[in-house]
Amino acid sequence: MRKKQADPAGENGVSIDGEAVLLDRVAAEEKDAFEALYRLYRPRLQRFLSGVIKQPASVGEILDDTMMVVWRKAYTFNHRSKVSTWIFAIAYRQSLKALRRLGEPEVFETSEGSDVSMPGPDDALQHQELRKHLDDALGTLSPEQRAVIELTYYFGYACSEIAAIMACPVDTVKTRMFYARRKLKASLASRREAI
Amino acid sequence: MNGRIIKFEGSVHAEADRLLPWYINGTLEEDERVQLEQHLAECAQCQREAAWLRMLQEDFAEQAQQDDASPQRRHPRHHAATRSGARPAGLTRKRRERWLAWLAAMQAVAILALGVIMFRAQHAPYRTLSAPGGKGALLVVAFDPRTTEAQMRELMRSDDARIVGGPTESGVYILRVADEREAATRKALLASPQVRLVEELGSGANP
Repeated sequence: MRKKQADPAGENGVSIDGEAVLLDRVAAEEKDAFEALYRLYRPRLQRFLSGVIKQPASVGEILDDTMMVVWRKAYTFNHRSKVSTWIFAIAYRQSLKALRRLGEPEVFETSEGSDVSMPGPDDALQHQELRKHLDDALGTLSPEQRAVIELTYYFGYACSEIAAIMACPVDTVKTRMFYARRKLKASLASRREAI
Repeated sequence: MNGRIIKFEGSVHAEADRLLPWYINGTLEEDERVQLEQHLAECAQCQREAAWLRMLQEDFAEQAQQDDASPQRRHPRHHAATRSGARPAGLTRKRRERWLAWLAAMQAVAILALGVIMFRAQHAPYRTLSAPGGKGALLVVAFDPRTTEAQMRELMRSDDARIVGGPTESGVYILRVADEREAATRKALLASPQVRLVEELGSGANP
């Protein structure tokens, strides 16, 4: 019996240094390097932007805007951060710009009445609920809070790296995560009550 | 003195709580991690929170797998942490639950496999009659239960396949594809997130 397995061919073996070299070549306006970088980052950016803006129809446009900035500004990359941090920072700024254009509010740093008692985690049902309702619950967060959640859990960034991407202090990242967690739990709890 | 201690303990808890998400994703600095683990060992509230955050992380990790986000596409430390990361003591029960869930999942796969075998046994005459006629290869396919009819139709269209049997009680279908398209179709089906299993029906009879 053949079982479905993750496709190992999907792995992209470009090292951090390799990415920096690629970006240097983009700075020298080498189009094939830009195409390689685009191919490398498109899946990641699609996921990140989808998570932040929650408007699938706009993701492609923001992704293109992001990569256009990468093309134009590659020469400003100073090698003090990782290429991924630099590109994600551009994508984040572009997503906020797009949200402004679309008339979306940007920042909700308060708990907004979501300070409910936390459900216990040791209920087997809770994981099922989380899986089922996570996407809806993420929709109740602000774009900034979603960005922190995505960057932490999907992309596995450290708090300081997220601060660099979002151009804010580390404490702000912690605060956004703090309220994001509260809101997620409140949202999941309210969905459970509604069932 | 007492007041100062209470205040200190309070701030340690608050700071530990705020750092928990990055403890779970394995990106804390060593000194932060050691401090947090010391607090975690004696704080039931943080243990519960860590367990909840671990579930959240696991859900995102599953999404990443479904998205074919390879370790290289993600943050290298994230992968290392997921593989080896120190786990809070309070998580042992959750891990056991997940182990049981894994066992249940494997059982489900076994039941599905049994369904495929039974299906093959039931449909063996059809295969032997049709295969030599060059009408195409037969594939046994199990779709994800959440797959909609429209998604299934789209898969059939894009893979140039036709459902010629099923579903069985275990949700298994039999598909016919042109002989020359068989390998490509099987590969495409395997790559689809809606497909859980693909089995060549002819392979059992003609090893």
